[in-house]
Amino acid sequence: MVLDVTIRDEMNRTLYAKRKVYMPQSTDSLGNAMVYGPTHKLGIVRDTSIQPFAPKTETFQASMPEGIGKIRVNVDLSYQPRPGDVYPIHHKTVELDLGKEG
Amino acid sequence: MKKEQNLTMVGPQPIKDRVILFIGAMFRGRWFTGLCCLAFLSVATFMNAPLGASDNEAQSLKELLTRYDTSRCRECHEEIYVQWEKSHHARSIMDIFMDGYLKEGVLAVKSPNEATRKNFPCFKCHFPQLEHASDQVASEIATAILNKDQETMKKLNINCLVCHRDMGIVHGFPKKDVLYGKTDVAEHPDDGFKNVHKSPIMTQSVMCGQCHGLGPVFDFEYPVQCATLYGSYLHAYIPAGGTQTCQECHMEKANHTCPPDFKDREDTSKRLAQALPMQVEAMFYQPQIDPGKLVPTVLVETRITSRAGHRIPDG
Repeated sequence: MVLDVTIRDEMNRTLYAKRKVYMPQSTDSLGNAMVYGPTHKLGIVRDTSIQPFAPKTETFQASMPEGIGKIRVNVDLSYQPRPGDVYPIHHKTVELDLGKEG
Repeated sequence: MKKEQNLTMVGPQPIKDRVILFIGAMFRGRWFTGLCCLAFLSVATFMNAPLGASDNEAQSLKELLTRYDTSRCRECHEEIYVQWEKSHHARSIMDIFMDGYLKEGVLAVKSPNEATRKNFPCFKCHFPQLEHASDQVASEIATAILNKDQETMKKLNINCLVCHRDMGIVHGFPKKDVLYGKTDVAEHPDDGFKNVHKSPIMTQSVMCGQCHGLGPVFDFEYPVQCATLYGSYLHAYIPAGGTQTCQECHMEKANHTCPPDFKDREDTSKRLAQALPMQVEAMFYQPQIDPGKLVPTVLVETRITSRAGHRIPDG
């Protein structure tokens, strides 16, 4: 599961971009390097996946340059079993006018 | 996978029983009865050939597939069969990149002729029928996979007999000529399986947990770790107060497509959206951590809640 948060200005310039990945992570139990594939994985050493009844809450704090007006916050949650293989899940947009809000 | 000896013998009466009956009749001097039994034995053996009555491991892939042929189930269970055909169970080795494992790594072979059942730990769940076959069958399967023989690979799947016989019960061994379902069926109109017994686990998560994994599998020379989903169900969902079974979410109204179908991308996205509601809030403000220095800041809060019965992602 991949959570992407992007903030763009009116000119569509990226002011902020951050990604969080939620997944169980395994080594081959021979070393400390994470591996992929059922014939390599042996034991989960870290698990950031989304657990039942356990909300995943994140806070993203982005400093903005001076003089920015309207911005658009895009939040995308997707399932990406392999690089480039994207199942969109949620796409949410919040628009803020920093000039007015300030 | 649990098995009873002679599990693959699916004919209505084992050959050896018929032979014993014949010999017994002969010894008791009932020649006429004995001869009748001999005639019946010959005819019945011939008639039951497609059901693959045999005490031995299947010696060819064709023989194994014949023993596990479920095409006749469709005659009465059309809707369920069509659902199953669309499921991942019906293409259980099509998308697991088995050719890669046979080319490189601990399961690799120089030639498909070298392949034995040891090269297919994945088949413990992806094609458990292999347990009832010889190494020759493993070699034939390796040939099909390495030649990308899609027609043959399509026939290697998790079919009716895997769940409704081999895996149908876990308390004791499944009986060779019995199917298992949600209810008893007094007279099942099939030449081979005349009995359907109620399986106490058919509607319980443990049924699915037989394959959908607790964690690493140490049964083999080299361990494998594929699905860990049932482990997550047991140790995360249940302790958090979850009460639903796998079947209630993934086989609603006995739907044998068992979604998600990852090839149906739109539906998979929709199901994931239902399982993982997400809230987003954003605000702009100017904190003044260092006195006199305002920093224009955007704060974004995200909250993803899981309604699923296991970790996501998992398999």
